[in-house]
Amino acid sequence: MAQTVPGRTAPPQTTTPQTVTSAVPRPWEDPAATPFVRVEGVTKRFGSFTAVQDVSLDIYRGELFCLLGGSGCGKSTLLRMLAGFEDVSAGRVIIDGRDQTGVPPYLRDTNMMFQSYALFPHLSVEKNIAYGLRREGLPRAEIATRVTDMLSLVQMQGFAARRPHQLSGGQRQRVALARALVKRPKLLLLDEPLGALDRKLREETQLELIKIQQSLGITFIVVTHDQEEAMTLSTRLGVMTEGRIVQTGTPHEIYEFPRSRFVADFIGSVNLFDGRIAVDGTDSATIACPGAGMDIHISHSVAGTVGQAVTVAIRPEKIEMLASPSGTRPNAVEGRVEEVAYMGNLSVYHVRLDSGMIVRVNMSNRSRYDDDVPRPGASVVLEWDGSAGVVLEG
Amino acid sequence: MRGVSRHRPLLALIVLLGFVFLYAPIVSLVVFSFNESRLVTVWGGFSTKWYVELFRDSQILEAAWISLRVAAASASIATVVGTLGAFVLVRFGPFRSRALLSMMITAPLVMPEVIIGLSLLLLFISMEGLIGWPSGRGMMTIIIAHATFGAAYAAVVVQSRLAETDLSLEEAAMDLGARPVRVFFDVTLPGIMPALISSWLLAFTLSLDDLVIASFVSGPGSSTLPMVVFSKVRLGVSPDVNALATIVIALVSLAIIVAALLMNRRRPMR
Amino acid sequence: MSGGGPLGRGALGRALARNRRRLVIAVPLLWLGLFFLVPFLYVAKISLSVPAIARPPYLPLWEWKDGTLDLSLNFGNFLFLIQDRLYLAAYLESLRIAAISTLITLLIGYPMAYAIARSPAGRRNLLLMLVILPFWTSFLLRVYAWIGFLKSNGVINNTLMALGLIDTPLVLMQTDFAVYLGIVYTYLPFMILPLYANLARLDGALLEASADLGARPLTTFATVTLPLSARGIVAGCMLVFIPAVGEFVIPALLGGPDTLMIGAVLWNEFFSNRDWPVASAVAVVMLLVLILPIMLLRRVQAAPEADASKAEDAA
Repeated sequence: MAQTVPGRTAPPQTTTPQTVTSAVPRPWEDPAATPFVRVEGVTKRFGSFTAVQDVSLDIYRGELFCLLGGSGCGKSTLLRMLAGFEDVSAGRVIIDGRDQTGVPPYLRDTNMMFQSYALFPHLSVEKNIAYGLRREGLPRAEIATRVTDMLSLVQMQGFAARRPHQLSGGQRQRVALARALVKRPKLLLLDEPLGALDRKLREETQLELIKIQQSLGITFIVVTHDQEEAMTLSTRLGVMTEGRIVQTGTPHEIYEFPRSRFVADFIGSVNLFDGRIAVDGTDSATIACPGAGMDIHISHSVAGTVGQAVTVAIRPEKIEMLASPSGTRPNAVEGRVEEVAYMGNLSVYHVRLDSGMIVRVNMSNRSRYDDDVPRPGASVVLEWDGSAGVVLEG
Repeated sequence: MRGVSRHRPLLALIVLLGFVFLYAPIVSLVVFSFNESRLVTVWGGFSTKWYVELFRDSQILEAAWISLRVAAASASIATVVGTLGAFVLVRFGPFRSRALLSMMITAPLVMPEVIIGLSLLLLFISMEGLIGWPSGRGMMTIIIAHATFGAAYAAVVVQSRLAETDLSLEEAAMDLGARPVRVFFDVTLPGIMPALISSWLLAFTLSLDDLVIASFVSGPGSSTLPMVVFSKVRLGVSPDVNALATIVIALVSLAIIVAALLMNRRRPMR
Repeated sequence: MSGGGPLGRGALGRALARNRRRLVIAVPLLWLGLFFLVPFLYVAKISLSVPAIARPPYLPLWEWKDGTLDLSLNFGNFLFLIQDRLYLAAYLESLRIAAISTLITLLIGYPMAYAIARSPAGRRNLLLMLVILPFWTSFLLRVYAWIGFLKSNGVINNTLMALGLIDTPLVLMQTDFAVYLGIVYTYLPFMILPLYANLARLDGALLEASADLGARPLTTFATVTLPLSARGIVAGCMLVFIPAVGEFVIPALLGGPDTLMIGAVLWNEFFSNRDWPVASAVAVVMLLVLILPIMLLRRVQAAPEADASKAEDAA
């Protein structure tokens, strides 16, 4: 996998750290902290097909960790190995200091919320939630109390006697969550927990899920293919492709400091400028990009060799579009607006540079009127700061 | 359906003619069972005398009682064996004798009855010679024979149901702490219950209906209903067989109506 | 009627302890092995024995004589089948009658299955149930019902004569026609069900696409519907053809003395002549004849599952 040329140890100071994540503890930055879930070199093969390839991962107590990737990337298989539904072909899974490799699902302290919810159709909501507690052989009175508490936690008090098919999708989702949480698992695994909900309901439920997770303090691992969902929910996320985790980090790190073309391209949209290192100084560098017809100035060292092939990744919202050059930014290039896509809160512009390359630029629609926005055919200047671009290998 | 609405009258006519073909003989069976005349096909006035005659025929009554017991026993065995076979094939992943089991469980469906009957009879005779069991042929041997091909039908019915049940239900039960046997009884079995009931009914009906295999493996004093009916109708039509047919049809219709009512009353499972 | 997926699915089976797993596998395996597979090997064995007037009426295939195994394979029974014209004729007659009946069943069953598949969704299940319903009543009694229809003073002749269409009764019973009718009548549901299952799955958008691209209804049927239902046609035909070849009851009740089908030959060889080795040889050859259609059936029934198993691990 392509790695960033600069060690990502010194992020440019111009980016403001995200306030939400800085408010909670960041155990992954503490070398003394012991991970709660430890995946060690886990591989899963189905016949000749390798679904998960040598994945290692540390997840800390209280985290809400998202596994993000496209379909077939191995994220569900990894989750199913944590739950015990699939045996590992190689490697170990350690949860709370105990090796869980080979332990069947019914003996693990993990619970899973299924993508299909997997509510037992022949049991009422109440009995569905009580099912796991009954297997523990708890006294009836305690089961009843815990089920009632759980029903009120997910705001389903009035639905105890209903059968799953009498519930809406959102209600089933709550029951599935309650059923998995009622056993007070050390670790809750969620497979596309919001995948079956429509967009509006999904956004509400995301925040609710975070609230429940924080109030119970249970470690969550969520599998999702939806990057917005992963960004919203997670303390950290792991991006998976072709059976491997290519980068783990906070949403902010993943978005602003992708370590490979794949991650840069997979999360959000990005302009990729291919080029070679022309100058590499102590606190600045220049990348020659013949495809864009310009040199891109970077405001930090890239710690590579001159002539090395690199890619500069620049997010569309980091680029300023002006009618005439401001002269205040190190990078400026002329172009012509080719297409405008109006998205409501922002508009996406496709600008063709003189070299022929198309650059994507996002601009917020601050005004309700579109008198002074550039129209297709308009000549514009694109500018960005030296800290806007991420330099990636190759 | 879209795009074919112009052909609807023609299609309806085809369906109508098809059902006339399927049901005309059955209707005539019923009508002529109430015929006064011995001639099955000439109407001689309404009468229920053939029913009276039927219930005086101890041979038929005895055969019917044997058939019912054989059918109930063989259907029960068939459902258990077939369900286990289906479960093993659908849920167990690869194992050594899988291909063999898969072959054996489907083969009886396409095997001519005469071959099944002949081969089982030869087996029973030789087993008796070797280990003294089964001693002679009778209800036991018919039950075994019927259970064997009934199991194949049961396996097919249960297999298709198992294949379409949501695997994550079983996984959810395990995840919540249920051991495999518990999962089977708590989740798998309720899920496939409709299939088990239809398997049992199917095996029951097939057993009740079978003439050829039973003829091979039955012994003296264990003639089943089809065997008695066959020897009767081979000699020509006889109105008490019509009466018997009418009773069978009435019972089957009743069972189906009851089943339909039960299905309607119960809420859908999925 | 298929052998499960290429691989069984599900964590439940894997989670079962090894000895429990073995036990669960053993029950169906032993039952079917003992009462289905072993009997066959037995038939094969007896077909190679010499007939004798004894109990059982054949000589043992192998014997221990002076410490050596004396194996005597006798292919005489099979030679006998070839030499005696009766057997060859009966096999050919069975195949001919089964083939013609299957074709007629297809010609009646396809339009019915098509019509049911294209009828309003609410009515489809009812129609389908009406197709299956006769199957739940006795097969023997349904064949018997046709005797009353076909005999010289039966329903058909009486009706035609009453209408003045004929003067003397038609000979319908004890003819090949009666046998065709009996087979078609009995096995029609077996044709309709796989065809219906196939046609009901056919995406209506495909027919619209065909019409949209300029195909008239008949062209659409010939170029889209028919090729896509080929699997159902093969399955339905084999489900009728295979049992029809070995059919015993229908020719015995409706056929004439000239209708010589192989099932009846086997029956007589066993019950009347008590010639077990020849009866066994007849069974072995019948099975060999049917192997090709059986393989064909298995193939069309196994194929759709392959797609389902591919989706097994969409992670």
